[in-house]
Amino acid sequence: MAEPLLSVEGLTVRLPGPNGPVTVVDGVDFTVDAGEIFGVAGESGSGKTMTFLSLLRLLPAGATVHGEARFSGQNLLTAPAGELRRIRGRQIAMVFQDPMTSLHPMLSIGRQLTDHLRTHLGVNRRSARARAAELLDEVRIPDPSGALRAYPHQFSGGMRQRIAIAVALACRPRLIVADEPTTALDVTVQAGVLHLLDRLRRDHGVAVALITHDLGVMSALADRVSVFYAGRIVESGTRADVLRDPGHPYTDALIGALSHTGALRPLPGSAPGAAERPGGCAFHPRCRYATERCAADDQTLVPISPGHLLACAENPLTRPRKAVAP
Amino acid sequence: MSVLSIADLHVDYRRRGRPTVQAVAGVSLSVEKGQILGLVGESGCGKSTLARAAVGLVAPSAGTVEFDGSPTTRLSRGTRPAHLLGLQMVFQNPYASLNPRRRVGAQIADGVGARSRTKVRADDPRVAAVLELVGLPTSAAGRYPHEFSGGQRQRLAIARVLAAEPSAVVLDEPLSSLDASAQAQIASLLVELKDKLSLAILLISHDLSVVRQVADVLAVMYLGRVVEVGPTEQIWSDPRHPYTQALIGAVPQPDGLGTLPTALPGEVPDPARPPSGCRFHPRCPEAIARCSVEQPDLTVLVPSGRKLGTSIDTPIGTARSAACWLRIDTEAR
Repeated sequence: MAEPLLSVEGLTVRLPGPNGPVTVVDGVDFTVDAGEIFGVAGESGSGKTMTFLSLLRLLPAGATVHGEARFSGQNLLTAPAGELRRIRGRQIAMVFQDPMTSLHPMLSIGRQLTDHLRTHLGVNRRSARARAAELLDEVRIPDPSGALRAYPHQFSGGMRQRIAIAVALACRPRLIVADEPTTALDVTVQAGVLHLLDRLRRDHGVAVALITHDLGVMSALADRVSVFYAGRIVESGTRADVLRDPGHPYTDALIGALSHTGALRPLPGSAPGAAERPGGCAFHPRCRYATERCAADDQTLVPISPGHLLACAENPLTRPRKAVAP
Repeated sequence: MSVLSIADLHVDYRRRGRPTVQAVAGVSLSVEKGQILGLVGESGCGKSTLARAAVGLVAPSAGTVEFDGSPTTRLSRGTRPAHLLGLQMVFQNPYASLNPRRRVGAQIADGVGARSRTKVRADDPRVAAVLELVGLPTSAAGRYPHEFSGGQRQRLAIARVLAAEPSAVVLDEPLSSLDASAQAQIASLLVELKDKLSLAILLISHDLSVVRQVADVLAVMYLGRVVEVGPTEQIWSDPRHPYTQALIGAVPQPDGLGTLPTALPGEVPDPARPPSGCRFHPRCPEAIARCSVEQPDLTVLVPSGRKLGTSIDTPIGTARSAACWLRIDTEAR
């Protein structure tokens, strides 16, 4: 089998807190294959963004990172600064939630699209400009040459996010980390951006790490999904495994909380902050199936079927089904 | 009688040297006691302006808004007529609308005091009762807003509004800054409060999937006009306006099937230069010649498959209506 594009093992991130370091990502393992859309789900504060920021070494000062992260043969966590600079932006690009804050308000779109093309690929001004117009056309911005002279405020939210994606695509990265790329957008505009990401993956084979709390978005795009809770992955598998056949009570509750059929079934309470992570399974105080052993024992991810991993001692959702299987 | 009724409301934003923006261009809606009216639409469609006009924060250029039978005129600085105390508003970002430097109890006591016209202390039992109503512990009164999570802060913002014992509450995107699980919690709190206190609630949101689950009646807005109104489940299961169909089709379903939602081509046009005729016609897949010439009005439709349903006298919002020539020509009464 081919080597995965990105493989992360035992990733642990600690951030300084008022009462000493807090663990925000706690021993996370996952892989992303070339050309795959890898979905990362979870509530805010579950460590999903921190995981990817740590891979690009964009964490705030004082953070410590342990574990291993290999990206096409290079170790991201130990690569020297010069090498890291060649990876960031060129091989791994990032798209953030709010394009108004990720695009520079006082630089023209043309400048923002050509700067790193010239830096990373060493092309001259004219061919960078031509390439930038191509990129805008690729993300379906009307009148690309006019758009190059315009500024971010002249575009709507959906257009700005397309431009941010064009910036990310400029150096033909092999992986795009998209952190809540459609959360700030209207559903109609979101649908367009989802189609765009899907097309990029099909046409260029670019892998996407899609971070989102919207399981509808996840279901539309992701090939595989990992569900984060309190800094750990509690379930991972193919899109169908996780969304159609959830094994973890947390995944099930997330799907149920905003299910499109029937009454609201909100999940009580909120996710614990990194400093107040409960012992045992971190989800046990909110879990309707929790038993004494959930509070006592740490849970580790174990396969329940090929490729479908679950960290749940009680396993209340899959056990009955297994019992009736021949 | 409707608690809050909006009739042919227009709100224009005038800017020197530029065309006037018609943010709200002739909207009629009404909210009844014990009812949640969900108002949905894309950003820039004028729904927040409508919310602000409903409580009197912006002046309408034409039309009326009545609360309990008396008009909500634009508020002047520092004075709010006593009869408007029963009409309250909750804003999108609870952290921006709560005072970060005052304890929660004191902020809620303000509302209780406004209603009772006396000075009320933060340890008043009525403050504790309001906190309990929104599902927060009474100990919350002694804490500051930053000590709470986003969902809890939105509960606080709602508690502060409830302290004034309103009969109508307008909420502008109260869920959009929250996580999926907090959204569901606040959404079910709204339903609970509506039933318990017989509130009339105008809920503004761009997120159809949440509104669908809490609203009794749904109104869909496009570029300053309401294009479809009706009972939520009917609209969801059988949308009649092409725009409503596009909005519902664009919501991705968490069904694990990997189906991409249907994208609606184009963007919301500039409200300063609205298209002629039906404002949706340039993006409409079904537009006919008439659509670009004549503007359709919201018209009560015959329920599909049946001859007669709701009476024509039912209040605006309860009868199934759409503003679309394709439907008006064939289905209107």
